[in-house]
Amino acid sequence: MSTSPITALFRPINRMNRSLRLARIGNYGRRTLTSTSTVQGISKFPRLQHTIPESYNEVEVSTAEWSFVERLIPPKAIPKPKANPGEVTPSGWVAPSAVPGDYPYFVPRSASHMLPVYVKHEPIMSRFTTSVKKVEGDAFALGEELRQYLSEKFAPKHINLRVHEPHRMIQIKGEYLLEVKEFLISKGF
Amino acid sequence: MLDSSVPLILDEKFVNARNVVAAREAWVETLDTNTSDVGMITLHPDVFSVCPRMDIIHENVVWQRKYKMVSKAHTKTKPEVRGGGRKPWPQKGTGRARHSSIRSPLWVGGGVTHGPRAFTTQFYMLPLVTRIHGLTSTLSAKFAQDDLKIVESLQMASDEPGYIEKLCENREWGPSVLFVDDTDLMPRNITIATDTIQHMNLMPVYGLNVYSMLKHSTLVLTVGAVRRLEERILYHLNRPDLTKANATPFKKQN
Repeated sequence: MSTSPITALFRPINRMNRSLRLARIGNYGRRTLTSTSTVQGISKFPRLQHTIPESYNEVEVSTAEWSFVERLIPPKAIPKPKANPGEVTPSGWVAPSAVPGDYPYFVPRSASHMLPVYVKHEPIMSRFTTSVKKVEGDAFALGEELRQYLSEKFAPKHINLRVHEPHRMIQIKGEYLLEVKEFLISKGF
Repeated sequence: MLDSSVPLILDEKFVNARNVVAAREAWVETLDTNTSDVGMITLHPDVFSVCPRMDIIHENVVWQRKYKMVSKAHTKTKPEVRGGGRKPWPQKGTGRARHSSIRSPLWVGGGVTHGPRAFTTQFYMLPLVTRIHGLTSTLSAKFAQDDLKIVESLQMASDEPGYIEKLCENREWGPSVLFVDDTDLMPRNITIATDTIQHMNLMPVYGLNVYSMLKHSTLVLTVGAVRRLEERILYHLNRPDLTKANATPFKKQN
């Protein structure tokens, strides 16, 4: 194939990247690798020929490099941070210290080891709902404690709160995300 | 099959359990002999002791019924009804209302304007999270109501239908029983025995669904099926890319 720049323009474009072709030349038992550079059909690079000596005929399976592949595979679950119960990590994350039985209720962490407190902002300017989910045990007791805590903190504001037992959640009218999280962390959840 | 002198204790320490209950425990039974229990197994609370969400179970049942539905109801529109090409009477002079065709929707026997058209599908997909919570809620409800039985395997001594019927009667397993194994190639004897019995069905674990679990009174899982279920459900409940996987296309349009 000619390599003049004029004919290069009319050469069909090979979509495959730089490839190596293994060819047997004669009966000498040598293997020759010929590189075909296919960058947009223009071959500025010379055709290189590499000869592989016969001693490299055997193929060996190596598992020494598997660790480099393994570290790229994404984890199946978010790993639990290594912190003692109740410890405050430098990022601000607090490890849970409460154990079921401490209180009549229990609020476990989510799959990402965070508190299950969420704020929903409906598409109306002032409609916020704070919800505490995954509440187990006596949800009404936790509801009353939350109501008391928030009423004291935001007095004289009236706190509207609803305990939805079948869905294991407490809904509070308003945006009290940080205060509710503070309260739960103080309890050790 | 099993050495009945040694009880089968399948105790698993669950790492991801974040519940009040560390694990639920259940008896392991056998279909082979008449002995009631051969051992004990611990069940993961996130799968088997979840507070059942009735609304999610209902959503799942409705979805399972609707997504396969193809309505064949069909009506003809005005151009499809036979006849009606000619103007019935002249536009002016007769004293009657003006009409251009006897098959207009105004006429008796005319076409239907907005009627059903054949092969209307009600296909939609429920979000992944809703389907998973449907499974966990139903399994927990079945377990709490004592309708979930765990068996070490589906190996049976005899291939007579009478054998399995009598076994279910003695153990007070409900009229309809669903046997679930982790393979889809079931043992010979149980396949032959339940072949003629319409209310006793075999199912691989990948076919487990809310509708079937509610349709059959008793759900019988093998130990292999229980572990496979736990592994898959817990993977989905704890996976980091759940929001991405939950973005199911074809959601229900209200």
